[in-house]
Amino acid sequence: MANRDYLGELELLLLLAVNHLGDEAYGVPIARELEKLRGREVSVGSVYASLERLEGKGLVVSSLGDPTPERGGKAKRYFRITEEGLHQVQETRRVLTRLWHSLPDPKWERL
Amino acid sequence: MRRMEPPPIASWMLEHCIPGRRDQALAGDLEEAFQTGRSNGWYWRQSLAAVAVGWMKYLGDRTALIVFALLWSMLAPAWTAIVERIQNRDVAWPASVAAWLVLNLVFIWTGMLAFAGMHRRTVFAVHARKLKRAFGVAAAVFLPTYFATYVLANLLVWPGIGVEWRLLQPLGEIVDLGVRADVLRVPYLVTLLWSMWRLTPVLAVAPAVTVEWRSHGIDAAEREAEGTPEELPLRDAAAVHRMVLFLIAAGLLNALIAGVLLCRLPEDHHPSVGSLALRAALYVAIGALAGLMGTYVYWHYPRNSFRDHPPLPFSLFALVCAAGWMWVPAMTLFSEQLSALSAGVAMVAAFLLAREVRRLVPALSPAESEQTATAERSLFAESLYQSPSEPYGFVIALCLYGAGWAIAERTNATAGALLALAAAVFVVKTTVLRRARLRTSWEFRRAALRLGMMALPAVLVTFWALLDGVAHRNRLAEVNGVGLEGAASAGDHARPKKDEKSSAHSGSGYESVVLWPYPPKKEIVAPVQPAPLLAPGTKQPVVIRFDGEYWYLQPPDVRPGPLAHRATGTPLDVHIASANSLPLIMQAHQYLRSPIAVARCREIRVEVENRETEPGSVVLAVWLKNSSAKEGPAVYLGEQPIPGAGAGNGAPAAGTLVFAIPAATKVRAFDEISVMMLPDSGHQQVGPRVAIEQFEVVPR
Repeated sequence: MANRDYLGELELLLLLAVNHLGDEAYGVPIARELEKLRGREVSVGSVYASLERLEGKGLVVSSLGDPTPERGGKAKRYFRITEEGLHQVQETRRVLTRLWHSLPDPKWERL
Repeated sequence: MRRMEPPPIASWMLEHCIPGRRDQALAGDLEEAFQTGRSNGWYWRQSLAAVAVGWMKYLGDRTALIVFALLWSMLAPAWTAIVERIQNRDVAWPASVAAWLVLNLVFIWTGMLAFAGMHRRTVFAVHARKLKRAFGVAAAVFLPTYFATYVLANLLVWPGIGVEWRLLQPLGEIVDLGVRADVLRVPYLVTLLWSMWRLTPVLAVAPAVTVEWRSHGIDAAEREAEGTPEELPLRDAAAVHRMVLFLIAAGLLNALIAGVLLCRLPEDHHPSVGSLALRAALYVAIGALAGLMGTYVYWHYPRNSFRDHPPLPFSLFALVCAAGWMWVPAMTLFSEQLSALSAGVAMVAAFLLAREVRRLVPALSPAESEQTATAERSLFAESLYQSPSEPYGFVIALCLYGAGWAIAERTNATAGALLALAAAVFVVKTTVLRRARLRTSWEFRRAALRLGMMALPAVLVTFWALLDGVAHRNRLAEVNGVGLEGAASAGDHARPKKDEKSSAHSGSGYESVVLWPYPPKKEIVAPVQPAPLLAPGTKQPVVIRFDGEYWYLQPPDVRPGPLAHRATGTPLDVHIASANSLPLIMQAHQYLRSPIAVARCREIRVEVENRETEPGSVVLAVWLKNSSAKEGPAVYLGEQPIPGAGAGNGAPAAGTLVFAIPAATKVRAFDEISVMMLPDSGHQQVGPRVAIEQFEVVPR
């Protein structure tokens, strides 16, 4: 059973990136996607630590691919979002949408 | 031309410096990114970050264990002092080492069980077999670790850290942060970490829950009949807990006030057992009723949301809480006697109260539903890595630690509060919750039965507090020489008689002894000549022949009472022993005719004669006092062991102990030299056979 805790910023971004990348969701593209979203360098080690935590919560699953020469013979670790992960993302979006309704309009602030 | 291979040292670090499971995928990702044009610096940064994150995760998963092991090993020197006291020194070598090992393993295993108990649901349910294995690992690891620490300590601090085991005081050792105590803690810390490392449970963070409930007394059928829509008030679980805590605190405060104001000792100095039992039952009832009144007032407070939508009947809540409040009178009675038992009673009461409330409160909260999950929780608040948060074990350990300190300082109220908090937190974290629906009638029966069962021990403990209080009061009256007029009717045997062997402490013997040395005090001999010492340029030490008093006391007395036995003799020849289980305190007091400026003295030499054969069995401590400032500050000059008399013809051995006098002290002048003999734990029942010959005050 997944934890009912809400997602943090990095976790939400990771889940969105994994979902967006689909079958190509492994360390390098995920980190690159995060770098694009956040506009700064991302530690791949931190990405893996967060993905493992998400895996512990049952929000993503991982599987090893085949070793490739450009990786020094090391296998890729592919991540895939689970149903529960998808539900958590949707739930977070619902909460955020509800919260954003109460966000004041900047124009009114200026006045 | 750019290198196509990543930096080899960084790659080696990725392979070997990340603890736990090695992740080839991470190394492969970094290498793949490097091949696509990333720089050496980027690869280095990523490698170092991966190592750092790996270690943070590895240690972060075990934060609870590390902190617990640190706190538990803080107690190790105190346990060592206790072991030294209880271990029989007459046992031969193999058996003595085995006994020592078993005693220390008991300490470590107790710590392991305490840690496991805090995570009972995770450890016992999942890792019970590993826990048994950890016990074996601890048994195998402790002795080699202890030996290795001993060898290393002796190598680093040559010729070794001198420890006078018999002089160690358990409570003092807990807060000792010196090198010796810290070295002593190392093997216990290492053993705990080593044995429990793989057992550490991964702690889950409790989810935020929003609960909802129906108002009692209006069921769904009635709503349907009335045609009113069902309105379920949404409540935060935290708000429920806060309200319950507040109501309990209000009841507790009321019970405490009633306990202090109404629960008093009987006037009669020798009350009958029946009257005490009746009084105890009455006090228990007062405690429970006062608590109920306090809760009732706030339960029905207009702004209390419980008033409109009570999650449970007030009477049920009152029955549950009364089982805790009825211990309050016993607590206050023990507290008035300055007894540490008040803290123990507080802990028991908190345990019983928290256990039942904890069991009951979840029944008020239906299982969380996804539709009712709250949104008011901080979003985007997580860092890159979130370590498990489990502060309760630390809170319990700190409370126990603080309570021990408070008891040593005789602040029983603080100790009681801390022990109660520790018990409550322990219960909250270890009680297995059942998500069962609240069955009011069944809960009523259970609460009433439990209250009835708890009432008997509460009355017995209150009875004990009353009995002890009366005895304590009578004892104080005897010690203070106050006539027991109120007891005249009970018989004259209750009144202490002059020159009679007092029963203040033990029922036989003297309450205290004042010994005058031979020859009897002469009035014509001036004990000191302070004038030469005070004169500028004086180099000769002033010799003060000891002609003061020896005091033999028992705690809590600080000076001989009015019924003290007075005699003439020297400690070398008399045999004064404690007639009860309390230790005997021996002091020597030399009064000076006129004060001496402390700033003019460099050191003081104390010449003693000793008939104690064991070297170091008696430690001598010296104070300089100013008798004009009553209970004022004194200059403590330290303590030194007295050399043993050695095996000879029984003649006392002479020795001189030198104590340096600090130049700057709170006391400017002194007119009394106080010496306290501190025997080791094996000789505390007998007055040391040590006599003061003279003092030499050396000018600065």
